Order: sequence, then structure tokens, then C-alpha cells
Amino acid sequence: MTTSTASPPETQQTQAPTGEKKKSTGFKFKTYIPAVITGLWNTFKHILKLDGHKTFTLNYPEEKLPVKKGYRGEHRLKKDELGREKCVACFMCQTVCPSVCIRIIAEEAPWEDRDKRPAVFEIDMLRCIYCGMCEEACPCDAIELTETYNVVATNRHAKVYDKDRLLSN
Amino acid sequence: MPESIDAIVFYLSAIVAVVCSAVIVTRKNPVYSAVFMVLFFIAWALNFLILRAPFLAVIQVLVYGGAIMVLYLFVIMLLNLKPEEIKEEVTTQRKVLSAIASVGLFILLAWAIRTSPKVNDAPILSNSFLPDTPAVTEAGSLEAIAMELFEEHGLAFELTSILILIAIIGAIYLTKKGKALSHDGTHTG
Amino acid sequence: MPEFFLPLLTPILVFGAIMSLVPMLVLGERRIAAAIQDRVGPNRVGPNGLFQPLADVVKLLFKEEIVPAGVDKWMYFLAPALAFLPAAFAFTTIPVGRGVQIADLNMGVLFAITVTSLGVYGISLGGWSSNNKFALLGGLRSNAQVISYEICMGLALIGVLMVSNFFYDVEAGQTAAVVSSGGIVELQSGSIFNWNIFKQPLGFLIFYIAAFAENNRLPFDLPECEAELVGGFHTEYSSMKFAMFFLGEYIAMVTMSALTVTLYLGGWDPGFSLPEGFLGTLISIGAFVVKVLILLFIYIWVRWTLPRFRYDQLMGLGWKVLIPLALFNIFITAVVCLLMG
Repeated sequence: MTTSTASPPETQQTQAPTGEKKKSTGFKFKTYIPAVITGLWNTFKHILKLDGHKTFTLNYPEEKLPVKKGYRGEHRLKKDELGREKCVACFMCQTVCPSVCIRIIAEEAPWEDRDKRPAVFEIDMLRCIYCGMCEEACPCDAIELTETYNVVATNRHAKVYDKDRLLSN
Repeated sequence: MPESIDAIVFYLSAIVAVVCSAVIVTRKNPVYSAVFMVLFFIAWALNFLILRAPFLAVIQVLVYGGAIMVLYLFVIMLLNLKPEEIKEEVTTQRKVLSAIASVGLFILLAWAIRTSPKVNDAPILSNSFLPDTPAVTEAGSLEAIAMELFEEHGLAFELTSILILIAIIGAIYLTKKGKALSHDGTHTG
Repeated sequence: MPEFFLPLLTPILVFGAIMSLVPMLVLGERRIAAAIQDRVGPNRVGPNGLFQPLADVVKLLFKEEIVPAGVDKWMYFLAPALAFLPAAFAFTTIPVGRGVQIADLNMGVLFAITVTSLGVYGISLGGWSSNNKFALLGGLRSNAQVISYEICMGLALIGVLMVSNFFYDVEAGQTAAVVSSGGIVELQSGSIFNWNIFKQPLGFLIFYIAAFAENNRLPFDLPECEAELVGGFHTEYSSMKFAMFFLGEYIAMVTMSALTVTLYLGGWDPGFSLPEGFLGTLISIGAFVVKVLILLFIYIWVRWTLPRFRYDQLMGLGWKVLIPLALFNIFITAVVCLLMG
């Protein structure tokens, strides 16, 4: 072939004389065509999904990735066997929360086994960083993070979850 | 019918060509001049078509419109001079001189064409357009032009190509002059 | 009967076909690109994403039209049209089927090359008028690139014309004029081995590479060159004007593919002898369309395979490799023609 001048002299000069870059100066690369055909065959295998290539895309709303164990999604307030919220309004989660997104107002509990219960329990989901520290801090296992991650809202107020919303989560 | 279409095309292309040439010489912005030059070439190519010389028409647009003017435009855009950067004053003296020169050139060309034996031998040019006889169509065909070029004017053609070759070598020499070439052809400085 | 209204029908059908082919081509490009990258691509709008081009067009139509400060108004508005028109115009001389051609000009092939070569004005003027450094660089690159590769293209074309002329002389039964595109196709018809690609393999390679460069497609898309020039010549264009550039690029691709098919791949010739009458015409159109689609697929396939050339590599390839090769091709063709005839 007469294509020996394919790569300009400047590139030849910059290449190391030790021959470690020999691969890119060989006949195959200088004439372009074999390298081009190799590349085209490679992409063609991707089109036909030969050689074990497969489509990685997930058709999201229809198909979903399985949620990993320990995933930290939206919060939930737990209930006990009698259907009451477990929370005793101890303010541990509010204190530990690094993004200050939990707001609790306590009131006197009407039940015998505890002194307080939350009158208001709000989490601002837009501030929350889903670190899970509230869950770790809770002394009576009343709050936990679920695997729900795809809840949307049309305004900012809707993302401030109140007690009922958290209990029903 | 063909004659009237010829007439329409001729007058249209002639008007376009004249307007374009006026625009070419009056614009301050060279890019506009270049673009209207291309338009002028296309209008002029239509004239060749009326004269039943399609090869000339196509080559005119291909070589001048498609290649040479692209090169011109390239240079104009590369320099990208603003109108205020071109500090060239056109004096009245120069305007008058150039007007005289162009009118003189026009008279010279008109005279040359009118007195040319080939034009005088050509059939009825003054009051009608070309008839579509085989002789007329063949005179402008590719074969006829090729025969003229390579048989009758073969020597001139070869000399021209040698001239162009010399020009190319000269251009390459001029661009390489500043940089010394080492033996293996790579730049050293 | 078909022969009677074909003159009127052909232009409408051909332009309609091109204009409807382009959106499909855009969709095809996106889907093939996705397949190469192991993705899915647009598949939401309509069945299997078939109406995606429609959504794209609606989006482009309703986008804000921005005219940046300091543009050269006339050229800025003219450039998208200039980029779009020549490519569509060049289709007039390409025979899309047996006897189906808008105009079988005497200089058909030259005409097509000429008109496509004018497409560069849209790009370079668009780049210049935008008053933007990136756009200007894109326009300049396009100028230099098109001039360089047009020479390769023309030289490769000479080989085709030589071969056609040679076989024209041998087979006295042919009635075709050699430089007309219809004639070139007629000379290739009959058998697959009459196609010019078998007579001019090197010429075909050169022509096809030059076609990529003419259309500013990867690996030669330096005028656009997202990586270093933002968007190149159309950096400052938005909305419908950008769409015109886009349309122009894709129509130029279709035109170039059609021209390559006409010159090298036998045009409408399906490789076997066609039946007479309307059925034969339909088969010939089908064969032409299939060939064009295959070439368009190769365009897309190459784009998503090869990386972009550096500018000096591009010029080196054009001037130091392809032009000498094209001259060598002419030389070989002439020698073979002399020896055989």
C-alpha cells in the first residue's frame, strides 16, 4: 500500500524510541483500514448482541432494580400491637439529626405505660439526607427508614411529612 | 416555445448577473462580495446553458462556485477584517481612473467579440436565440469540448498544466522555506 | 400509463420520500447508537418510539428563537437555508428507479457533485455570521475540509467515467450518455458484477471516505466537533434555524448515499434482470431504496465506532493519502483499459 504517510511526521517524532508504543505505529494502524474494520466488527457485535453483549438499560417505570438490603428510603413511624405509635417524644432523633429536619412537639400521653407522645412529628423530606441516624438513636425502635424512594410531590409543603403520613408509610 | 423560454432565462440571469456584479464592487464587507460572486457565477452558468454548453455551465459552478470562491471565503473569514480596519481611502481620482479602465475594457471586449471571425460565422445571433439543431447541441457537448481541448489545443493544454505544476512546486517551496528540512523529512526547527 | 404522469409525479414523490426519510433516519441513528452502546434508545413516543421524530420536531418548533447580539443579520438568516437547499436540489439528477428520475441531465453526475459542493456555503457563512469564535473556527474548518476532499471525490469520479466510457464503447447496444447519471446506472445493470464497485474498488473506497468528509460526519465532523468547538458552526443557532442545519446534514447524507449507489453500486439495478412494465419499475425503486438504506446504516455505524480525526490528520489523510491514491487509481484504470481495449 502507498499509505505509509498516513500518520503525520509530528506524531512519529513524539513517539518513544524504545518501541513501547509500537502498537500504534504498526502497519495495521498506519493504513487505517484494518483497524477501522476491527472497530466496525466490534460495534457490529454490540448491535447484534453477539459475544455475550446485552442491553443494560432498565425500562424504569415498568422494570425496577431490586432494592438492596439496608437501603435508606423514606421514614416510617412504627406502631405497637395496640395500634399506638411507639414514639415517646424523647427528642433523641431531633437532637441527633444532622440536617435538622425533624420537628417534634410533645404532649402528655393518655396511656399508662409512657409519659409523653408526639402531638406533632414532622420530617422535612427536602432537608433530610437519609443518613439513618434517627433510626440508630431511637431508644424504643419507633422510627425506621423504609425502602420507598420514588415518591414525588408537586409542591414543597407536600414534602413536609406529618405524623399521619409517617405512620401510614 | 424554446426560444421564449431561452429569452426569459437570459433576461432573468442577465439582470441577476448585472445586479450581482454591482453589489460585488460596492459592498464594504468582502464576505458579501464573495457570496454575490457565487450567485453571479450561477447566473452566468445559466447563460452557458442557453448557449447549449452544459459542460461549461456545470464546470463554471463546480470550479468557481464550489472550489475557488470557497477558498476566497476561507481567506476572507480567516482575516475577518472589520470595515473600519480597512484603512484604504478611495479617492475620486482613482474612481475616475478605474471607471475609464473598465469602460475601456468593455469596449475592447465588445469589439473583439464583434470582429471575431468565429462569431461572425455563427448563425443568426442578433435577433433570435439558438435553434436546437444537432449541430448546435453537439458544439457545446462534452465530447466536442474534449476533442477541442486535447486534440486541437493539446500542446497549449499540456503547457498550461506544466505552468500550474510549477506554481504548485513554487507554493510548496515558499511555505517550506522558513523551516529547514532534515533528511528524513521531519521538521527540525 | 405510469410513464405518462411520471414526469409530474416523480419530483413530488422523490422530495416527499427524502423529507420523510430524514426523521426516520434521525430515529434510526439514535436507536442504532443505543444498540452499539448497549442501551435501548428512545422507545416511549408511539409504538417502539416510532413517533419520536415528531416529538423532536415539535420541541424544536416551540423552542425560543435566539438571535445573539452582533450577528450579521442577513447571512445569519440565509445560512440555514443555504445549508439545506443544495443537498435537496442535488437529488434531481439521481435515478431512483428504472425510468424514474426527475431530470436525466446530460451532465447529471457533475451536476450532482456541483450542487452538493455548494452546501459548504451554508456552514461557513453560518459560522462566520454568528459572531462567535467557535462558530467561525467551525466554518473555516468546513471550508478547508470540503475543498480538500472534493478533489479526492472528483478524482475518484474520473475513474468511474473512464470505466463507463470503456464499457460504453465495447457494448455497442448501450444507448446511454456516459456522464449522465442515468447512463452510468444503465451501464451497470444486468448483473451484480457489472457494478462499478467491482471495477473500481479503490475508487469506491476513496469516494466513500470523501463523502464522509463532505457531509461532516464522524470521523470527519471537525466543523461541529462538540469536544473542542462546543457546537461548531451552529453554536449560536437555536430553534427552527438549528433544525434547518440538522435537516440539511441528514439530507446531504441521503443525497451522498444515493450518489454513491448511483456511481458504484449499480443504482436501481437489483442484480438480476427486471421484469418489464410497472412491476419492474417498482422492484428497481425498492432495490435503490434498500441500497441507500444500507449505506446510511454504514454512515451511522461508522459514526458510533470511530473517534474523531485531529485536524492535521484530516488534512494529511486528504492530501497525502487519498489524492495520491486517487491519481494512482486513475493511472491503473487507464492502463487496464488500454490493455483490455
